[in-house]
Order: sequence, then structure tokens, then C-alpha cells
Amino acid sequence: MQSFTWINAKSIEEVKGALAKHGKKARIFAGGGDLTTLMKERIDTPEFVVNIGDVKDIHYIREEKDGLHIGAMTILADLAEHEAVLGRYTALAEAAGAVASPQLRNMGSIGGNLCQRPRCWYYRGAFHCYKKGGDFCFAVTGDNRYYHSILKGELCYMVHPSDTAVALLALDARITIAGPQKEKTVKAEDFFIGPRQDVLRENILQPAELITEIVVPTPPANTRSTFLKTRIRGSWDFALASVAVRCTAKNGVCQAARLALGGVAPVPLRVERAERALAGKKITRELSQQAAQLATAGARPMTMNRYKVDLTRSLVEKALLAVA
Amino acid sequence: MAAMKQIIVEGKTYTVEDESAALQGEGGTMLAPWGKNETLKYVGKRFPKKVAREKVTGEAKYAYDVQLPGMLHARVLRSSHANAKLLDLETSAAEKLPGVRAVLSHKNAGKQPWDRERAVFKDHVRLIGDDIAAVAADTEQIADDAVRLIKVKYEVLPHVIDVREAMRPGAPKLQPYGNIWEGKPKVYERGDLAKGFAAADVVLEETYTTSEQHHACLEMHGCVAHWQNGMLTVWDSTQGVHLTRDLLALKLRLPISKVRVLNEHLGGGFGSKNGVKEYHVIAAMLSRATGSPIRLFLDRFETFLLSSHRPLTIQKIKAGFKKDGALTAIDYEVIGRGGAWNDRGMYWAAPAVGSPTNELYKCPNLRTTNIPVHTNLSSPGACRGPGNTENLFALEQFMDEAAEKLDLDPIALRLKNFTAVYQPKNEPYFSNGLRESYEAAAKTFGWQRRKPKSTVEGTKRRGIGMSAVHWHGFEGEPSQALVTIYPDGTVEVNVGIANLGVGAQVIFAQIAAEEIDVPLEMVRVAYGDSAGTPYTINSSYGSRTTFQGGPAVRMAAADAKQQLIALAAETLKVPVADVQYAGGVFAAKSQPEKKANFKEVTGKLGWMQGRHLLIGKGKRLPNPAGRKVDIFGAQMVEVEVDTASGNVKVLRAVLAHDSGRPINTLTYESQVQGGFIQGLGMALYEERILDAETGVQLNANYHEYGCPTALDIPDQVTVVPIETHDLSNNINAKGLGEPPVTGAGGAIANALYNATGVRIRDYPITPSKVLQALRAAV
Ligand SMILES: Cc1cc2nc3c(=O)[nH]c(=O)nc-3n(C[C@H](O)[C@H](O)[C@H](O)COP(=O)(O)OP(=O)(O)OC[C@H]3O[C@@H](n4cnc5c(N)ncnc54)[C@H](O)[C@@H]3O)c2cc1C
Ligand code: SF4
Repeated sequence: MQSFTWINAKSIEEVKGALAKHGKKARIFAGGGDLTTLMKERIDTPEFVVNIGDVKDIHYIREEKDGLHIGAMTILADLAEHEAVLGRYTALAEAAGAVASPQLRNMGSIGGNLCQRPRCWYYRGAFHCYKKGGDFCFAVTGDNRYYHSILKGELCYMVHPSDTAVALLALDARITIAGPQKEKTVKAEDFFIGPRQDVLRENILQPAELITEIVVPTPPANTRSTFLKTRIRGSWDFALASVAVRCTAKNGVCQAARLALGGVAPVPLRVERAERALAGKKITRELSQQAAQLATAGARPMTMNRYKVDLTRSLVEKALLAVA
Repeated sequence: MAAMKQIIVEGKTYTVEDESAALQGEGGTMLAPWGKNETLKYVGKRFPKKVAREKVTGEAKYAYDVQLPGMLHARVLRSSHANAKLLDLETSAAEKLPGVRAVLSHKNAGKQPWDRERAVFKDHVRLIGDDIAAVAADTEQIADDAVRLIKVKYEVLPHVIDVREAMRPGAPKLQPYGNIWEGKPKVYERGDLAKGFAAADVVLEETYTTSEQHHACLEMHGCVAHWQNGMLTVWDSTQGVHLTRDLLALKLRLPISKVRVLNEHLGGGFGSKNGVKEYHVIAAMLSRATGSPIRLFLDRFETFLLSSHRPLTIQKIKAGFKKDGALTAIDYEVIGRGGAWNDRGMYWAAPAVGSPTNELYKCPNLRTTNIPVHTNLSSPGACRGPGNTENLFALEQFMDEAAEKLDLDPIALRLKNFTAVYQPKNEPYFSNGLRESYEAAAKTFGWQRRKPKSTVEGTKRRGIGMSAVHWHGFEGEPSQALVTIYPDGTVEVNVGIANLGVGAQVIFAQIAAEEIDVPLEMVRVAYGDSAGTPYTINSSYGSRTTFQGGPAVRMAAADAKQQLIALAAETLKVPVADVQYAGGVFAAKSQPEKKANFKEVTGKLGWMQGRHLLIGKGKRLPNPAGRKVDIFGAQMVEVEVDTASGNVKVLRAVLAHDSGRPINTLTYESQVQGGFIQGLGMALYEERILDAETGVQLNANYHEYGCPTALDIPDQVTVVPIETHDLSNNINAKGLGEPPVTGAGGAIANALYNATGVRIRDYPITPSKVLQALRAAV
């Protein structure tokens, strides 16, 4: 690990101050579940590390009139076990509970989970690829069996690693960002950006900005949601593919649905074509199969990950039948 | 010359050495093996490992934890190319970094050889990770920073990673003799292959591949070395203190008496911590250069890169069968991926693979072709059950495929080809519990309920499968042990072993307690220090620790007991022959009222009584000649395959193992369960993934490498000990640590087939392969 200066911030103002002062040389340290590894491997070598673990006011889960408010520093284990989250925002509780392992869920924050860096093993290894400012993607000709896209890849073919992001898209969440400018709130799906927009980042955050809160709107009546994930082992592993769905249904007829995929694209991917196919229809096995086809339409698997197409379709089908 | 006798096996007469005469120990003590139905007090019971509590509470100190006053920390600069010459090496910036105490490289330490073809510090690196330079500094952080300040200019040369590519003409030539080890395949043949195939009714040929499994030890590889006053002391993460000592003395040209190696606890070895690696020598050299103790541990990445691994194998099996299942011929070929250097790793790459094919099934006409191939990678090594595991993962799937083709039950086919004779040398086995293993496993498992097809529930399919287990025993190398009895009646067993973690300490204590007839709590086992322990085992590999050391311990205990009886005779003032000992009391047979308890007799020992301590000496002699020790078993599993996700879950396993006499039934169970789980990992998850272009390992960390987690192992793993009465040594043991790994792959793959109708011949059986195979089968 390269030496660095540790800044233990006590308030959002202090975090903002430190970030504004050190700009690109600083990183936020939440649970450290990802940042520590990046620093140990010298993939990221910040000079200043700003700990937000001791910042009050960003550790909370509150259900208010407009929905669920989650402080950025809330740990995943709390989200996974929270009664209201389990009850009305099920996909999020399930996604948080499907992250990594119990130890990592006890340390990892929702903010950190959304801002974690790619797991592409070329990025994590000694390869100077696009993502690191190089001019090549090693995964295209190399080994792309697990951590690479079947949809929306260009330049960089990483898949976004966050499980909670997929659930937040399906639940139509908003993300609150603080920084040198006025606080702003963006839709979850607008928070994440693909490589074409900026290959060096995975989201819109500027160096001096941070997430402070996530708000999940109260779901309409008769709404259920779920998150499903396939991984190699029962614990620890990232998604080979995942799906989150939120569906409002009456007598088995879908009124509105939101569907998002994980593990298949450089961003958590909302698939509106599939959503539209569901609206106003009774959810049957055939319809879910159709939606699954639409969700993966246009898939361009890489040399080693064709299986992800089948896998994603099975997950979509299963998830839809589960919430219908 | 020991007496010979004749025995009849499978209708043939064999001349073998008589076991009772052959088991004569040092000083004429006769110690026949325990009888089949002999009642034993401590042996065959459940006792927890002596160190279990220390490990669970974190009190156990590993070599990794050793901290010495003034200790410096070392890091090594390693090659980042798979084949390159060093044009220039600039270390001055590293030397100038405050806190750096020494920098070694080929420039200033070039003369220190590693083996016959290379120096410790290379100027021509042949694989990613080869040692170039080393730094000792006040902290690990400084050492790490300093290593990064060393500038290397490489002349990059062509390299080869793929094993098939390495075999092609025109591939970069890695050794003067070419890329096949020592120039040509190693072939073993018996009978007449052409005749055998001509006689066959059915011929089957299939190819299987196994992946490079890592040992993935929790404790990383490394040591703390202190060279002081001409004496080198090393706290080593090792499976054998004596082997490390002897090899370090050899490499550093030191007298053996000037090297001392210690190991109290070991955080995993599995075959990867036998002998010495470059880091041992580098730590010693840096200690000599600085005068300070040096701590040199590989980090997790380096551990994956350099601590060796099971080889990648491509195995082609072609076999002929009669309609009734009898084998007429086997033609077997294994290509194994080796490393760049001509070292022992090349033996593990392929020559070590194939013994089950040669031995397990009766087959008069057979050819085995082993092709170890050099590539620009680090060398493979022995990994729990080396060779036999790779081979059985292939062979046992093959037997299942053959059984289906012949329309026979998989067990029936195996029984049809059973043999009680070790075919390569035409020697009968001392014992062979394979038949009993099949029977017991089938009964416990409910094998007769196996259906030709799976049961279906939604996307879930269930199926069952089995595999034979096979491991080779040893001939019995020389092994010594001491048993000391102290004046207070406590007993110390002194053995030269490290602490691999197999529970040898409690097992040796049980054997001594049994032989002397003292309570187990009275016995302590001293071990883990090459100075002051006899040569019990050079290193704990080959599932030999109990098998080698146990008989020597029993012999030493018997010797001590003889001496005690003599002391009791003196105490009771009766002739030695008149003394009997039972239940802690010595008594004169002629005058039963004359007696003394254990402590009264041992109280006569020690300097206060003007006497020496009582030291019993024991030696293990080779097994009686003319017969072979092999280890057998049968494993059965039920799996559930999710056809939507491709996940394969093992629901339950029954593991029947013939390892001779179970000495400690608790550690027996945990060895079998642990071994099976390691095999399960290799069958379903574990493999070294390399970038095909550069040879860089992409998954060199615990998370991505992927050993099974608690959620991936079956809730039910039932162990069924098959107690054969083996007469190869005086404790009837055969060896246990490795065989349980060998059956997992075949059993799981066969169950997968039973569940889904698809065969996956390429391990590990990952979800992507299952999904691809299912799609292809539609
Ligand atoms: C072995 C392993 C397995 C894993 N498996 C999964 C998995 O299956 N699914 C999954 O979703 N994740 C997985 N993860 C990631 C895990 O969830 C991490 O805990 C999480 O990504 C990081 O959370 P953290 O609070 O520890 O963040 P940190 O490591 O502290 O930070 C991560 C990144 O986010 C930035 N950051 C943190 N908080 C903020 C904020 N409030 N605003 C702006 N930027 C911020 C940091 O600067 C850093 O770049 C895994 C991680 C590991 C090590
Ligand atoms: S997928 Fe992205 S992160 Fe991976 S090698 Fe390609 S550019 Fe780099």
C-alpha cells in the first residue's frame, strides 16, 4: 500500500471541505470493503483518505411519508434485516442480503456499495486498460467468463458489480449528492454512466462530491418486488447475473412493472422494453418468457459468456412469476 | 533374514515375508501388530486434537506470528515477464531509501545456487514471479516501497503458456531437450495391447481435463530466519522440520547440526510446504547480511503464484471390455502442464498421474503414457492426493460411462474388475477393503434406490453417483521415536514432526498410552523442533505420519515399558520375569501381595534418586517384503442441479474408507470430511485462471479463486470406516489424509449425469459449463 494521510471527518461539512481541498487526490472511505483492496494492490493510490464512518447523520433507515430514507453510511446488514425494508422494499433487502458475505455486509455501506469499482480482473491486475487510462480492453480478447458484459459494452466491457444498485433501479430510487454545488437529487438510473460517457468512471460523481442519502419512494398499493441473483458459490461471489423487479398487479394483471438487470452490462440496466410488454397483461409463464426474451434482446455475448443470456432469461422469468 | 511364508491370493501362491518376524524392533523387542479383535483402551476411540482449543481461541502461534527483537522484514522483487533476460538492474534508489538494511540480487549474491540449473536470484527469468532481488528493511511497508524502486530493463523473449501449443514444433524451446520433460514421454506397459483390444466386445474412448487446484493455505508461505554465531534458526511454516533443515544445510553448505527448524502450528500445507523454496534461502542470506532476524512471508498473490498447485491434466482413456464387463485392455495417456524449470514439479505434472489406472482394476493388457510438458509457468507440486486425484476424477467418470454402455450397474462393473493383487509388481496387497467399502457405502447411502434417470422438481434435478477411492501406501521408511518417563509418572513422546494439522499429536499419545497402559492425560507429545527430536518423518506428506511414526512410537513405548518392568522388579525385589503390570499396578506374579503402583516405581527415577531418566527408543522397520500397502474406499453423493442457474449442490455424501485401523475415530472423521470437501472444491469451483496471452494469473486471491464456503458443502457427510486388519506394521495403519480427496470428482460428475443426462468431462463443473452442456443437449 502506498502511504497516505488519513482524515477522520466528523460531519458532512468536514467531508466536503476535505474533498474540495484535495480534489482528485482524495478518496472517501466508508466501510473500506473495496477501497482497502484497491489501495493494497496499488490500483488506486490516493494521497488523502477521508473516513466518513464517524460522520453522524448518515447512518439511518427511516420510513417517511414519501418513502424510505437511507443514510449513505448505513451498512448492508441493517438493510437486509430491516422490517420495513423487508416488507415494502423487498428487492432492496434481498439485494443487500445477497451481497458478498456476512462480514462484508457488516462493514460495507450502501453508498460504498453503489460506488465500488469494477471487478474485471484485468482492471484488478497489472493491466493498463481503458479504465486506467490505457488504450486497450484486455477482456475482449482475454478471459471474460465472469465479469464481463453481454449488453451495452463498448470500449470497456466490465459489468457493474453492485447488487443493491439493481434493486434501487427497479424500486425507482433517488440518490442525493452533496458537494461544492447545491445538493442535488438524481434518479438511480441516471446516476450510473456507461463507458461511452466516461470510461474512467462508473457514475456521475465529481471528485469533490459524495452520496449522502438514498430515497426509495413508497410503492403503490398491490406492489411486490424481488431480487434474484445467480452466483457460483453460496456466499462471497458477485452476480453472474441478477435481476430486480417491482410489479404492481391486480388479480394477476400487471399494471406497472420495473425491471433491472445486473451482472450483464457496464451499468445496472433497466430494460424498459420488457417492462412495457408486461403492462396491462396477466403474468403467465408465456408472458414472462416473452419479457425475458425482450430483456436480453440485442445481447452480444463475448467469447466466454454466452451462458449469461440463458441465465438472465431464466432469472427474469422466475422473478416475474414470483411477484405476479 | 526374516522367515518367509506362502500365501494364496486369487488362486495363486505368493512367497512373502512373515509379518511377525519382520516387525522386530530395535534391541530385539518383538512387537506384532495388534490382533484383529484385540481390545484396546485408547486406540480406536474419539479424542479431540490436543491443539484444537489453542487454535479456536487464537492462542496458537504460527510461524507467521513470530516476532523477534530487532527483526527486519523482507520483500522480493519478482519477474513480471514469463520469459526475459535482465539487461540492467538498478538498485541504488532502493538502497538509499531510509530504513532499508540490505538489497540482494544476482549482482552481489549471484553465486548462491538454487538448483542445478539456476541461481536464487536470476538474470534470466522464465516465469512470472521468478526471484530477481530482495530487500530487508525496518518495516514491511518500507521493504515493499523499496522493491518498487528497483529498476529492471528486460529483453523480453517468446514464451509459451498453453500446454498443447508447447508441444507443437516451433514453440519456444524451454529446455535443451525440448518441452517434453527429459525429451520423451514416460511409458509403462504390460501384456499385449493389440491382443487385448482385439478380444474386446466394447471399446470406449474419452478425454477428460482437470484444472490446476491450489493448496490455498490460510497461513501464507514464509519463515523467520536468524543467522547468528554461525547457527541458522528458522521458524518455518512447514510440514516437516527435518526436511527443511536438511535441505537448508545442503543449499547453504552448513553442517546439519548448525541448522535448527521449528514449527509449532501450521495454517495449512496440503503438500505445498514440504522442503525449501527460494524464500527460505533468501531469508537466511538476508539474515547473514544484516545480522538481524528476517521475516519473509509471501503475500496472498505470491502464494497463489509460487507455492505450487495441482497440475492441469488432459487425460485420454481408451479401454476394451468383454460383454460381462471384464477389462481386456487400457490405453491411457496423460498430458500434464509443468513449469519452466527442470525440477520435481515435472514429476507431479504427469508421471505421478495414472497409478489408479495401472492398479485399481484388473487388466492384463495396459499402456500408460505420461507426457509432462514445460511451459513458462511456475512448477506444479504435490497437492493432497497428488496424481491419484487427477487420475480418478477422469477414470471414475470413464467407468460410469462404460457401465452405462455395457448396461451394468456401476458397482457391478467395478466389482467385476476387482483385484487383490498389486499388478505392476505382481504382489498381493496386505489388505484391500475396496469390496467392503462399496458394500458399506451402498448400504448406508441407499444405492439400490438409484434410478437410471433423475427426479425432477421445477428446474431442479436430483441424481446420485459414486466413485472408488485409491491411494498408494508406502514401504515403510526408517522412523524413530523416543518415549521418556519422568519421576512423577508423566510420559513424553518425542517425535520429529511438524504440525500439519492432522492430529498426529493426539494419535501418538494414544499409541503410547495404549502400549504403556497409562491414562492419556499423562502423555505429552514433544514435536516441532528439528533439534532434539529424532528422525520420525522427514516431512508429513503422502499420508504417512501415523503410518510411519506410529509404529516407532509404539516400539519406543514398549521399550520404555520393558525398562519400567525391570525397575519394578528392582523395587519389588523379584526377578523381572515375575513382574506383571495392569491397571496402573505392578505386582509379582508369585507373590500377589508384593505390589507397587505406577508412580511408586517411576519415583525411583531421576537425579534425586541417583538415576537416569527412563528413555525408551523405538524404530520402525520397513514393511514385511513381498506385499503392497494400498488404501481404498468408495464415495457416494446425491446432487441437485438447478437447470436454470447451472448450480450444482451436493446434498449428501457417504464416504467409506479403508485405511486400516482407525486410531482416533474423531480425527478420522474430520480428515475424511475435510479431504472430501477439498475434492468437492476441485470438482465444482477451484481452478487457477490464467490470461492465455501473458500467463498472468487472473484469480490469484482468495475471493476469486473460490474454495467452497460453508454453504456449498453438504449438511450430511457420513463417514463409514472400513476396518481392514492390515499387517504391514504394528499398529495396522495405512494412511488417511489424502485418499478422501480422490473420489469426489468422479462421484459428483456421475451424479450430475444421473441428474441431467449431460456429461461434463472438464473440471471444475461450473454453472457456465452446466448451462452450455444443457443447451447443447436440447
Ligand atoms: C470479497 C468481496 C465480495 C463482494 N461481493 C459483492 C457482491 O456480491 N455484491 C456487491 O454488490 N458487492 C460485493 N462486494 C462489495 C462490497 O459490497 C463492499 O462492501 C462495498 O462495495 C463497499 O462498501 P464500503 O462501504 O466498504 O465502501 P468503501 O470500500 O469504503 O468504498 C468503495 C468506493 O465507494 C466510494 N464511496 C464510499 N462511500 C461513498 C459515498 N457516500 N459517496 C461517494 N463515494 C463513496 C469510495 O471512495 C470507494 O471508491 C464484495 C466485496 C468483496 C471484497
Ligand atoms: S473490461 Fe473494462 S476494466 Fe476490464 S480490461 Fe476492459 S477496459 Fe479494463
